[in-house]
Amino acid sequence: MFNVDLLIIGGGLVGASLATAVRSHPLAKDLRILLVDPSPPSTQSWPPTSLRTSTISPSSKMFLDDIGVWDRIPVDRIAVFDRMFVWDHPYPLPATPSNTEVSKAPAGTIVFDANDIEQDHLGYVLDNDTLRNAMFRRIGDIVGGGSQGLQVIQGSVKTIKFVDDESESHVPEEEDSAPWPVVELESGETIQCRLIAACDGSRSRVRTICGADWFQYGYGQNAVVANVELKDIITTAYQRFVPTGPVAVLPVSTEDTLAPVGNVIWTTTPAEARALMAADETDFINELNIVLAAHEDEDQVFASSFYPPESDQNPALWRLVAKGLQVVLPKSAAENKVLNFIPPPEATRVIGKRGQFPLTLGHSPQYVLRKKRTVLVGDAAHSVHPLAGQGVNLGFADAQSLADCIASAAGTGRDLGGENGAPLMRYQSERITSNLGMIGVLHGLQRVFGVQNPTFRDFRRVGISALNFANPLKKIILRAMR
Amino acid sequence: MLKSFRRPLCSSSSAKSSVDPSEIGKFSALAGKWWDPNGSAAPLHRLNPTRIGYIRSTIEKMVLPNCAPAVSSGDRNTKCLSGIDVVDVGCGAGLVAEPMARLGAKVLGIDKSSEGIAVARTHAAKDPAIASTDVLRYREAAVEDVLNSGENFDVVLALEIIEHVAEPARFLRHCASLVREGGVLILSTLNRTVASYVLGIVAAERVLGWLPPGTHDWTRFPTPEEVADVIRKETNLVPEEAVGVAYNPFRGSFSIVETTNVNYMLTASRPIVTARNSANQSSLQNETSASV
Repeated sequence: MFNVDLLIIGGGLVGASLATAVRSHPLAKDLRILLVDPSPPSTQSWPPTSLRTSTISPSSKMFLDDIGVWDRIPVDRIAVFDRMFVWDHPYPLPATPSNTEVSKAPAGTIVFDANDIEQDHLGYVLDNDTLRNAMFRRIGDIVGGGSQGLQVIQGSVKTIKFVDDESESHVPEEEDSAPWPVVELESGETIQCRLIAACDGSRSRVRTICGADWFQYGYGQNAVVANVELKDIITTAYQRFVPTGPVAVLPVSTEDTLAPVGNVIWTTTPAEARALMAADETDFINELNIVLAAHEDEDQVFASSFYPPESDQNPALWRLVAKGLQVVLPKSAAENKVLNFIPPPEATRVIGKRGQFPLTLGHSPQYVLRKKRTVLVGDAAHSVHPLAGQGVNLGFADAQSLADCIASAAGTGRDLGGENGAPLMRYQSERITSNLGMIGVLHGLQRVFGVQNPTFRDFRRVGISALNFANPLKKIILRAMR
Repeated sequence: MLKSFRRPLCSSSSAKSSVDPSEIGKFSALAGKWWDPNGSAAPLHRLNPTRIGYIRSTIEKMVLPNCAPAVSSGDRNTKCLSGIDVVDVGCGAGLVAEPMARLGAKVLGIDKSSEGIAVARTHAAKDPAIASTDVLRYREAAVEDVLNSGENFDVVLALEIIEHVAEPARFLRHCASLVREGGVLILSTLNRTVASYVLGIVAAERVLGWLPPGTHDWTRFPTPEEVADVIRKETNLVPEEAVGVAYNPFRGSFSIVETTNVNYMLTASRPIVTARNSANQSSLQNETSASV
C-alpha cells in the first residue's frame, strides 16, 4: 500500500504538468507525490507526431518554461503563429454599387495580431504526444535526480473508499476534514492519500466515483483531425465558420515531410464526420479546399453535399437593422485597416491517418470536493469546445493555480484536502471564474456562428466586422486567451 | 492616558501556577468548534498560515543552523523541520501543533483545558501522517508541569496565550526556562494601544463578531517593550525581533508587517554558551535585526 500526500490520477498534459509544477516548487519539496497513469509514455525516444495538437498561449508557454518542460521540447516540433484569422462563411460580400469599398474588407472577418497585444507570437502549436513526452522526460529527470518525493506508476482506478467504516455512507457534515481516501487500482494495488487530484479528462472516472455534479451540453458535433501538406508556409492560425461548424487550420512542425504542414481540426455533424473519415484522400483534400475557400455563389456546394437545408425565415426588421449597421460600422474603419483578409491556405495532400472525436461542453460547479479530499483539474472540471485551442491552456492555468495553492499550504503545514477545503479554495475561486468566462466566450462564439438563419447571418457578419475594428474588445478576448 | 491602563507584568516569585482558571473556562466552552474554519475560531484559521510561515522561517533562520548536520540533510522522510523539538504552550485544539508536526517537527502540545486536549487528540488521530505520538503528543498540563518534568525544547511557542495568563512575567520566565541553547521562544499576542482597542476589541468582538464578546481583556495586552524588558531582565534569553501581523480586509488574509501596534509576534533566542559553538553564537547575534 502506498501512502502519499498528493495522488495525481491521470498523466495527460494537465496531470503531468501538475506533478512537475508541484515538485518544482521549493515550498512543496517535502510532499510525497504519486502520479498514476494507464500508459505512461516511454521516454527512450521521441514518439511520432500525433494528430491531436495543442495551441499553447504565451502564458502557458511561460508556465511550461518555469516548470522546466519547454526546453525539453525539440525545437523543430514547435510551430509558431503570429496571427489568427477568423472568418465567416461565406466571403467576401458580393460587390454591389452600395458597398464596393466594403468588399475590400469583407464583412464577417476578424484578425488577431500578436502586435495588438505587444507580443512576438500569438501562440505555439505542437502535437500532444511530443508535449507529453517532454513532460515525462522532465519528470524522469526529477525522479532520477534523487528526488524521492515523486513516483510514477502504471495503473487505472478501480474504486475509491472514502470512509473508514463501511457502515458510514458519508463523512458527517460537521467534520472539518474527511479521512484519507484509499484508492484501489485495477491491479489490486492500494494507495492512501491526503489529496486526490483528478486529472483524468472530461469523462473523469474519479469525478464519477465521487458523485460530483457535472453539467454537460452535447454539441452534437464531432471533430475530424488530420495533418495535411500545404502549398505555402503559414504563420497564421485559420478558423472559418461554415454552416456545420468551425474548420481550423493550424501551422504544425513535423519531420514527416519537408513540405509545410497544417493541422486540420474540422468540426462538423456526426454524419459528415463519418463521410470525411471514409472519403478517400483526394476527396478529403478537395472537400477541405472547398470549405476553406468557397465563395458566396458557391453556397450550393454546402447545400448540396452534407448540409441540411437552411430555414428561410426573413424578418424584415432584422435585415433592415443589419444592413443599417453594415453601412455605419465597418466602413470608416475599413479605410485605415490594411489587413482584413488573409487568403486561406491550400491543402495538397493528406499526411497519415485521419482521426475523430466527439465534442461536448461540460462543467462541474465545484472543483474542490471537500468531503472527498478530491480536487478536479483540467478537463475533469471543465471541458470546452476546442475553438481556438483553448482547452489545454485552461488546463495549464488550473495546474499552475493549484500547484501554487498546494505549495503554500504544504509550506505552512496545512492539511491539503482537509480544513473544509480551505487551503484549496483560492484555486477554486480563481479558476471557476476564469474558466466559466472562457467557456462563455467559446460557447457564445459557437452559438453565434452556429445559427444559419440568413438574416441572422448578415447581422452576425456585421457584428464580427465591428468586433474586428473594435480593438479594445479584441484585446480583451486576446488577453483572456493568453 | 494609556499609562492609566498600564498593568505591570507581575513579577512575584511564589510557586503558584501562571494559569488563570476563569480564562480556561472561557475557551473550553468553545473547544468543539475550534476546528471549524468558519466557526468561533475563524480568525485563528485565517491567521494561522501567516503565523506558521513566520515560525517556520524563524526556525530555519535561527535554530536549524545550530542543529547537527544529520538533522538538516537526512533521508527521504526528512522534512524541513525534522529533528526540531517544539512545545506549544496553550495549544488549544492543536491549530498550530498539527501544522508544525506536518512540517516534520516533533511536537508536544499542552493546554490546561481538558476539552481542548481531547478535541486536539481526536483531530490529530484522523491524519495518518501525524497520528503517531512519536510525532505529536498532547498533554493536559501547564507550563510549570513541563518545567518540573525536566524536558526542554528547541522551540517554545506561546501564541495568543500570554494575554490570558494570571502572571505574565512568571509565565514568560517559565517558558524561557524550557528553551534549549540555540533555541527560540516565539510569542504572539496583541499590543496595548488605541489601535488594538479599536481593532482587537471593538471591531473583532463587537462589530464583526469574529470573537465572542469578552474573549479579550484589553488591559491584559502586554506591549512588545514590556515583554522584551522581562525577557532581558528575568530570563537567559535575548529578545531578537518583534514583527506585526496585520489583517488586510481586501484580501481577507493576514500578513507580516513592520508595525506592531495591533497583533505582533516576538522572538527571543537562547544563545549558545559552550566554547565549541561560540562562533555560531556571535554570528547569530550579529544577524539580529529589528531588536526590541
